[in-house]
Amino acid sequence: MPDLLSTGVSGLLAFRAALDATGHNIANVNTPGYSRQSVNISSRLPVATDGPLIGSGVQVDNVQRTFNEFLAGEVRLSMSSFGRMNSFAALANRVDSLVADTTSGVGPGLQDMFDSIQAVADDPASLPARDALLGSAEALTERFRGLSSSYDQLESEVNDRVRDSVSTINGIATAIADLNGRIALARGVNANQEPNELLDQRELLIQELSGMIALTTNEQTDGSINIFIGNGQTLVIGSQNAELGTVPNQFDPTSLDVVYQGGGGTDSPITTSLVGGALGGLLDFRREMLDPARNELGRIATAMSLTFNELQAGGMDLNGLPGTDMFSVEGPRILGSSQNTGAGVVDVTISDLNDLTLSDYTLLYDGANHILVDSQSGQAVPMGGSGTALDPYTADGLEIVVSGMAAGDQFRIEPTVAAASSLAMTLEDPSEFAAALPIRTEADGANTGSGIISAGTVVDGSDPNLQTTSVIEFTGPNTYSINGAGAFAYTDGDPITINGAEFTISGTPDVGDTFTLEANTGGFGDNRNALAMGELSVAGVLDGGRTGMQDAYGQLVARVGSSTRQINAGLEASSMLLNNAQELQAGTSGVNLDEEAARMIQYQQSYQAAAQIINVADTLFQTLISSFR
Amino acid sequence: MRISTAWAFNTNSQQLISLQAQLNETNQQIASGRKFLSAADDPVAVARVHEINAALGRNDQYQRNADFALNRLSLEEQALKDTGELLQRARELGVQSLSDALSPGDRAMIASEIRDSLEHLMQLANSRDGDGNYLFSGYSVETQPFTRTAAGVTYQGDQGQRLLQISETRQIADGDPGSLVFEQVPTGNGTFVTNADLANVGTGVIGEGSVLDPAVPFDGPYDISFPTPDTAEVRNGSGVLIATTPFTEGTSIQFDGLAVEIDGAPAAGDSFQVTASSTQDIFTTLELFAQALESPPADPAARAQFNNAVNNTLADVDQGIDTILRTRAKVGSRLTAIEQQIDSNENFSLVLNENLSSLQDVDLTEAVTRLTLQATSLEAAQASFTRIQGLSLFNYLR
Repeated sequence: MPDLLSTGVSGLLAFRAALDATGHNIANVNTPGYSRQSVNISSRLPVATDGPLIGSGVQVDNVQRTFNEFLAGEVRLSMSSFGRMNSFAALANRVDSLVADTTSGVGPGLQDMFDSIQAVADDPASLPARDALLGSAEALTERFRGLSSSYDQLESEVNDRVRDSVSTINGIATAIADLNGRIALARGVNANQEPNELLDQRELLIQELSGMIALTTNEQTDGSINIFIGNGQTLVIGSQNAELGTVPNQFDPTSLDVVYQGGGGTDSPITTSLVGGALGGLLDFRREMLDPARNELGRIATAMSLTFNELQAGGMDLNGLPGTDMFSVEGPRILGSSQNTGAGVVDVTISDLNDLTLSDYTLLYDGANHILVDSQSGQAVPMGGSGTALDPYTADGLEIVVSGMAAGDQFRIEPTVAAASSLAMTLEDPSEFAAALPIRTEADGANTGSGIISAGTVVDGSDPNLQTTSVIEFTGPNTYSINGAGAFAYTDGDPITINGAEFTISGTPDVGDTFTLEANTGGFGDNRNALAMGELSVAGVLDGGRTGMQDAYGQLVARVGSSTRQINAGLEASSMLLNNAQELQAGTSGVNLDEEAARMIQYQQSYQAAAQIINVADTLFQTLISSFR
Repeated sequence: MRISTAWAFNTNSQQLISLQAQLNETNQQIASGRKFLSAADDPVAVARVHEINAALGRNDQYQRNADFALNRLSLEEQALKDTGELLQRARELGVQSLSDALSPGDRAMIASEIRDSLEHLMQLANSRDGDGNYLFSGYSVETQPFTRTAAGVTYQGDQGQRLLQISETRQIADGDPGSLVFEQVPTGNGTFVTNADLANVGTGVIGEGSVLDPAVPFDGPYDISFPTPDTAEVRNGSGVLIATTPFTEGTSIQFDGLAVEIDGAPAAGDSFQVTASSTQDIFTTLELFAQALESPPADPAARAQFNNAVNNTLADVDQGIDTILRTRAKVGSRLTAIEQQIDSNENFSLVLNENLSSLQDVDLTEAVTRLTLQATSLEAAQASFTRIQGLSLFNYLR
């Protein structure tokens, strides 16, 4: 026979516990990471007697949290991808708004400068037009430098954020390791009762860590969870955790790399294997968006500087002198690895704009050969030449002269990264803009044939005899002499090159007709060179002649815009996924107040009923006692 | 499905935020009039807008260039028109001066008018544009193209011809070097020049002649001599006698595909020369005319010499008028071309602006409708949020 009083008390205790759990749930309705708890109860076994087997009440087995680890795993994964997109998108949107401005910015600045050049071409002798040109060119270089310094600022912000992320990750990892230890301890003390609060806290931290970096987990039998990142590096094992650190990049000390500080004081670089999460997003942003955008901007600056300087050199300014450089720009940046052992010297010049890419390169020496690797694609780039000053290596529009590298040494080559920030105007005097060409051509007035000479262009501005007068005299119907010497075959319309100047004669000159190539003395109204510079606004100077400078900037805007769009779309999708995963998890583990209210009523009524049992037991007992009175 | 109370609040507030964000974006689109607020909204369209803005900028510059060329060419056109009129007047004076009725005083007056014309011609040839640059000196815009020297008027400019960019693919000359306009004017009839020997004593006056058969090569200088007053002998450049014809006043003498006419009565021993045409600047032409006028003929032979000289002048002035007319025709066709280009640039600009507008301008009707719709859904969401969150079992536990 069960003890009615004890049965009633067991009910009181059990329902009190259930009410406590309900109260706990209600109190934690807004606690992040909290999983609702319920009391597991079971009926107590009957006491073995000869009589009818009636159970002896109820007992509390344990308090269980409602938790689905698969749903939690889903949340962790979504957190990683959301974290990456979120940190990438925040920075990408800033690059996007930097380049996209259609009214200020580099694109309209280029247009302004080309307009000013045309205005000089309209009136080459006009100093006000030339002043305006110098002003717009200076403004353009400022825009290049301004945009570039915004990139630099983003770069340093990325560094700061990488440093912050790493310290956050280390902090979380330490907390998880600590909780692992306490969970294992609690489970050791009472294997029947899970440490629910500790488990919830740890899960919350793991989710937070997933938002910082992609990770995999492995639950141990003692209840602790091991965490791996990157290529399987252990971040947390049991109650121990490793740390991440930041070190300056071996090539570029201004850029931070992430290292894994395992045991034994060895740091192994893991920057490239870190994916996902806010940290992964930062590293991806730097690699996929910031570096290419900066290189593209630098490539445009390089193209502008090289093409204008070349035309300047072949032109003649208002003082009758050969043009000097219009822009100055820093050439390729060459960075030796901090681990190099040799005294290697690498010199790189840009030889062909048409082949110039947006990539950075690493030059390795394996003891026998130099190998050039495209840092973006990781592919080796075939090089021509032998790397000496007389026969430099040639690859992707670069000429590389290398000496003194030891086996294993590495150099990073960044062809255009420094160009935009260093672009500057070197022309200060408006009269130094070389709108004219140093040569002109003339047909003799006494010519009787129909021969016409073209205005002429300069193919080699450095030829010392460029401005020497040359007289072309037709000595026969199809032959001519130059300054009375030689007999050259005449072909109607074929270019003739003398002393770095090129022109054509067409038509049928008579014997004795003469044409003159001479210095363009006093040619202040000549605009041929300015016209040629004006044509650079549409001329294809990059990508094998397919891309002009303005096109290149348009492409930069489009590329940044479409990457940003893609990232924003990705952010939306991952935020949706995360939302779904969190909603599912909240649906399972979250507290519903109506449900708790119902439970509260239920347990309250049960508690009242159990109390009645005690009352009845008492009444029975009183009845029995009074019968003996 | 279970609803977590905290999550329900969370979801609701997120939805309200997202609705507000959409409303805000539409609001910004309406306020700015732009479809997209950043490149990421529509990268392709933004890149296209960049291209179109660049093309529009270039087009505007081409229009300014065209205006420049138009101005310069109009100035040149005016100078050429004046020059043409001046030469036309000189031609009339030349014809007048041939009249027997003129007194030496009349000739002197004509001479002085020609001298004035020469001065005027110098001014025209040295015309400048609004910036003080010479119109007719080629590239050397700061060098006065025509100056007087002991040897006559000489050209100091060059043969450069400045081109201006008036469209993506078209460059047009904004002037002509003075050497081609004023200096290199053919003499005679353009093929040959006729001259009377200065030692002639008869009254023969030779006309400018004409080419009958251009296929026959010119083998001059030819010499037409009169062994007797009725016989003309023609010798070619090598001194070979190629024709002997009886001479009758008023009939032409023909040889090697050429015809020349001699009026008056050449005396025995007189000769005339037919030389290949060369070039002569029009200043010299007028100068020679003035000089001829300033030495009045005393006798019939001198009269014939005078008439010969004036004939030459007339031929040369005709060539000058012809050169000016041809240059004016070129300038005129350039002016037409520029005006056409300006029109087509304007059309192009119109098309580009339409493209630009369709790319980036927001459709206001659609945007305002969208705004109303979004505002309505936000209000509905707010109403339903307060309604649903008011439902709780705890409300009934009293």
